[in-house]
Amino acid sequence: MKIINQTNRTMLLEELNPEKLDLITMIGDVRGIDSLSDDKVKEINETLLCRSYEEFQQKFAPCIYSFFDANTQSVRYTLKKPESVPENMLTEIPLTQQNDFLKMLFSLIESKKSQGVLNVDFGFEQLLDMISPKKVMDDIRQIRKEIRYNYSKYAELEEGDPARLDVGDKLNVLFEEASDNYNNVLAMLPLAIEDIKTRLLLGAGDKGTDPNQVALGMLTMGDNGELKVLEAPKQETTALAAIDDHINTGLVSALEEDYQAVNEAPSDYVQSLVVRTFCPLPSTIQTEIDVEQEVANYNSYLQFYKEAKDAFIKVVKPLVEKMLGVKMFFDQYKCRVKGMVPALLVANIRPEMLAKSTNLPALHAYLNSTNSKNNFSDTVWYAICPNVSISPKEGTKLRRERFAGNIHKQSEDVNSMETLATLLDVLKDYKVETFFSFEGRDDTTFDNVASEGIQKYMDRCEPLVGRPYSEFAIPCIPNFTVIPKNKSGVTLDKLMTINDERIAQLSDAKEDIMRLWIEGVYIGSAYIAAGFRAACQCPDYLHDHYRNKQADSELPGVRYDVESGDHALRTRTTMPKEITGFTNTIKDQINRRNFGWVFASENAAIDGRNITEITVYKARNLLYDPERATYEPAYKTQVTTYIERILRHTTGDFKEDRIKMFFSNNPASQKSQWVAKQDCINAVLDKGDDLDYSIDESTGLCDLTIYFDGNARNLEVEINRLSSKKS
Amino acid sequence: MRWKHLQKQICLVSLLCFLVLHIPLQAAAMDLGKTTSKAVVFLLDASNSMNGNDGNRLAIDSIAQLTYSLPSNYTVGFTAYNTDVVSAVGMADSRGRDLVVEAANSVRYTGYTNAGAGLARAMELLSTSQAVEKTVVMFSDGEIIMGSDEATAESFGQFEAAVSQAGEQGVRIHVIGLGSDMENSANTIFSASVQTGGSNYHTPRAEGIQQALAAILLDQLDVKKTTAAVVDADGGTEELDITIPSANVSNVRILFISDSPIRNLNADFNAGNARQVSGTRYTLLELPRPTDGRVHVTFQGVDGSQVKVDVITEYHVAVVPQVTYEDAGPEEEGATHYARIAHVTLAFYDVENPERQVLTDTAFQGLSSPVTVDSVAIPASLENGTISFQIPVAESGNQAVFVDLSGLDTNLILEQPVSLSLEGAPSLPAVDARPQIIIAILGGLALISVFAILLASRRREVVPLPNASPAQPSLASRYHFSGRLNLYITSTRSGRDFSPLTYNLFRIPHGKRLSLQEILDSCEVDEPFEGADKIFFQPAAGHCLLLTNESDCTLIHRREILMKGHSYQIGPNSKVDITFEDERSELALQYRDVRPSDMRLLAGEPR
Repeated sequence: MKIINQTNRTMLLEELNPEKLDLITMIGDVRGIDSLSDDKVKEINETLLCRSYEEFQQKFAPCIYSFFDANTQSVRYTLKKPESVPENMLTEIPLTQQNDFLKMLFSLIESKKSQGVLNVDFGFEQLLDMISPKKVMDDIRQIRKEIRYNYSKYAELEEGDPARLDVGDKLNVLFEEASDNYNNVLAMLPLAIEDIKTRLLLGAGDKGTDPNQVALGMLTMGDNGELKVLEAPKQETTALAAIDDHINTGLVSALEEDYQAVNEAPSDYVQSLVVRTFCPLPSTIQTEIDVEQEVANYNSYLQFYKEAKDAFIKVVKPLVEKMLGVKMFFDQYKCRVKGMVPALLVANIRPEMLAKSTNLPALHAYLNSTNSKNNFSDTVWYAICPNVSISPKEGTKLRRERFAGNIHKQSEDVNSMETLATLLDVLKDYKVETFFSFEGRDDTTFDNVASEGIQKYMDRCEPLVGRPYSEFAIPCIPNFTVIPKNKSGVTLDKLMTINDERIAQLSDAKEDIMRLWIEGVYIGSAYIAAGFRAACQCPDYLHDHYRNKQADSELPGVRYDVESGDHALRTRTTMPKEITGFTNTIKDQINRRNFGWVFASENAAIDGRNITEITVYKARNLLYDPERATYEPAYKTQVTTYIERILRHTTGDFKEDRIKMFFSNNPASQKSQWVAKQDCINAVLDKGDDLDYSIDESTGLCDLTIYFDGNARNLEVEINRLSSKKS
Repeated sequence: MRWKHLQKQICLVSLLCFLVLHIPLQAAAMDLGKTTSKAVVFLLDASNSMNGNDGNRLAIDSIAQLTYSLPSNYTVGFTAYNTDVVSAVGMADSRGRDLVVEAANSVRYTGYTNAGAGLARAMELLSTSQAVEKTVVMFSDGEIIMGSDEATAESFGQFEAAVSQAGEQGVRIHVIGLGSDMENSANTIFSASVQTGGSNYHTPRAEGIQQALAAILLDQLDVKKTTAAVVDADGGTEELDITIPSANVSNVRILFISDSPIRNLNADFNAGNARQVSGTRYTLLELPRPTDGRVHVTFQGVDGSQVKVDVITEYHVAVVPQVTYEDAGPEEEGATHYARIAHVTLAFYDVENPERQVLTDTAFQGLSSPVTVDSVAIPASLENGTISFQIPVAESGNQAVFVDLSGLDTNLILEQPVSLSLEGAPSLPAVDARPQIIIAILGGLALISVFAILLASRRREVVPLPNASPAQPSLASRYHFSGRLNLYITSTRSGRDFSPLTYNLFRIPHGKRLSLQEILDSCEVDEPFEGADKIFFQPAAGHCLLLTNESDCTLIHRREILMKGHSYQIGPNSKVDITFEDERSELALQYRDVRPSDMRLLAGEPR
């Protein structure tokens, strides 16, 4: 690809981490200038451009902040760094793949993908309890095992042995992981909860019911041959060393020392908790347990943990949804040989801020620098604007609210239609196609489209139709569901009570079940549509999906029409199917006008194999063709832009003689070269397509007509008349 | 149609640039054109009697103060005499004034009073200067007295000879008489001022010299100054914000005068350079090319004293005349030429930075600035930094124009008179040949237009069009608007936020000339933007926009400032950043071309 080496750079119009640099800040003052310097563009690329989810994670390090509120005795979370809270009172929680909530969501998507089952059949509960203390403890058990194993090796090896140093390195990493937990009290809560549970409910089985006081014993045979369990003599604490090997004692002291060193305000209770968690001794069963105190602790820990987790999820959910979107954007590009890898330029600023009068000149200056030059390496082709508001549906008018119902409050984080229109007006000047999706709610999902159809989306997009920017606006529907609202309950654990025999047991009362509701996690379809379209631009990607067809390595997939033939079945999203499909009535409604970029969760098969992923059903923008009463396919816009850019480049900014050459039948002309590659899957001019031009000498305008399978699309360019035929 | 009614405006623009580009800012007065240069010699009586009348040497302090206060176009000399001439320095330009003050400070009061020798020496010094205006300021405490009667008589003779020489040469002598011996206004020394048209000031005590000096500076030397503040000092630190009354000045002198010493003066300012000199009762702060209109000053005065702060500004300007002609059919029968009226606009530009127009401040707006053209006085006033007047033109030739800017509260250093080259009216065509000539003129204009279109289409860059004329504001363009304007209000005085605005220019018929204010009004922007009514848009060739700036706003396009009084061609997809006259409101304006297909779509939108 000599002239245009990429046609899939995408700009994400969202804020991921307010503490990191954003596009407008980096562009700076643009008074008196129309474009930015190359240095500035390079600096922006270095800071904001990502080519993989890992790079995104590293560059933007999304995080949330927590601090404790003594008034309400609770933990508070916030996405924005609170300026009034001193640094030492603030905890930054990085949202890495190690974070339990994010880890749970990733596992959920992966597991759903691998199982290929619909939402209705998928066992969300199995995975949702990944954030319960029990699962946290399971993870710790794994670390614990590794620590113990490595420490034993470390202790065995002689001092100075190089192998000992290697093991030391591993141990350092493991201790670091462990210290993440015991470094803050909140992370210690699941440990403490599980620890108390283990000690109090020993013998009660996993369910914690029917507890008895346990007296450890030995299985023997009686004098008459009967089986007996005799109570074993209790070990004194001084005898620890006799039972435990040296490994445990060494590990205990190592953990104690580490805890003391790492923690600024160590407490004996937490220290012994850490030791018990990471190095459980067979002999640590205490002879005396203050049951009441422990039960009270357990209940308050669990209550606090539930509230903290609930608050955390409420705050982190919008950010996590964006992160999942970014991950899914990159995930769409599954290709054996990486060619034109989609790149995401994260503006890291709220669209509402970007659309302000004060900031738009800066956006203009940036896009002018990247998109209005004959150098196309930094050209932005797509934009993603997720989370556009969709008005809440009007329910039946109630005279009185008898039961607690959904609160339809207008979310503050959503992007308004006006913001989107303002941005589209700017982006269309630079031929940036914008994928937008509506806010992630249960009424914008596949389920909802299947039952209600797409009329509400068409109504909502009405103001964007028939405008100069319409052909650059691509409404994406429906949104993808990670956790459906009605299956988003997570049972953390049950509170404990003390029975008449002063033995602790888990309560059976319904109100004692600690449960929190995630209330649905969704991914904006704009991420996936843009990711999919970006992936289809890569000739290697198309080559991978079309074994029986040629893909020209020099051409991008601008003309690739996913709606055509079996294309939608060959190139699919990576998202697992969600529902059984849309009814024919709904599909008729979609097909009548060919509205939007619509994903489908249909039953289909290709080459004898069932398709388990979501496919693209429609790929249209908002340019309405009244003659044929249909919306235009999105690819036409990009092909037009691509041809215009190539034409400008090849003809030296539209010099008349070179335009004529461009369209001539000379085998070396650009048109002839494109026509020669018509058989390729990524042909710029497909079979039935044609290019024509006419020059109006009086006005100096060149009217370019691109025929897409017979349908004409016009493009007008002004001829540069200064070209001298003699030169 | 009668020939008389056939009236056509043929606008020929002649730009006469009199920019003396080689004049540096801190130019010595000697380097300035001789028509701008002025000379002053201070003549000090350094006889023994002065010890009694000026024990604190306040006369010398006052000479220093006056020396430093004079605008840059003054050359200064100093002569002191007692039994004979004891010191003579000069003529020093604005850079060499330290030498003059040094010479004055080194004088000792001793000996007799040989005023004749002193004045003769002063006249010698003045004779070395080419200045158009020469002045002697004389400080004396008594009559001429020498050791012997002969010597006294000789000095008298010398004095009278020098006075008559001064009278002949137009040198004015101002006398400040000190002490009781000078009470008689008919004495010999005072007669010098009477004979030369100068003025007399008598002050019994040296402390009164200050008032006399102020009067000479204002009334006699016509140095313009404004009083920024009068501070009653309480012995503590006084803080003061001094506002420089007008923008883009070439030099500003801030003079602190008190009857007691001024101490610890600190100033916070933005200027190309700075200089501070202090005397017993004055401190002077000189700031060439101040970039900020505000100077923050702290100082300490003696408790109970009063400190007066004067600001003396000066501009080094060049006058640039613009002439457009209006020809009409002659009134009288048998005339051979059209009746021609020349519309002359004089604009003032900084000598060092010829692109910067000055005197555009509202402080100067509307001030009377009568113009004299070949001895004919024409009333005129300063409007938006320019003076406009009309004169009938009979035949081609140069005319001397003199502008009287004495009504302005600033010191202007400019070459006068300005030579105005005027072209005579074309002769009336023979009756039969008229149509052909009209066709030829129209053809010529068409050719020029075609050439201009070609030029414009060759490079769609900002081209200042010097003939963008305030004189023809209502002319509709022959082009049509084709694009739209995106307006981004980035800063307002009230801090209000405006969403991005769009104005569809292509809807405006017949290339009407639109002001930015009209556009903002139609976008229902109710925020005031000072100067928006003086920024105009007209369509131009090649889908371009012609922007005419008649305001004092700062307009930047591709790192270039769009000057006042000029028009610029703005190509499609270009941006202009405007900072309005209040220096707070800002707007970015983007001109975009609209495709014909989009016009149809946008035509359905509400305005």
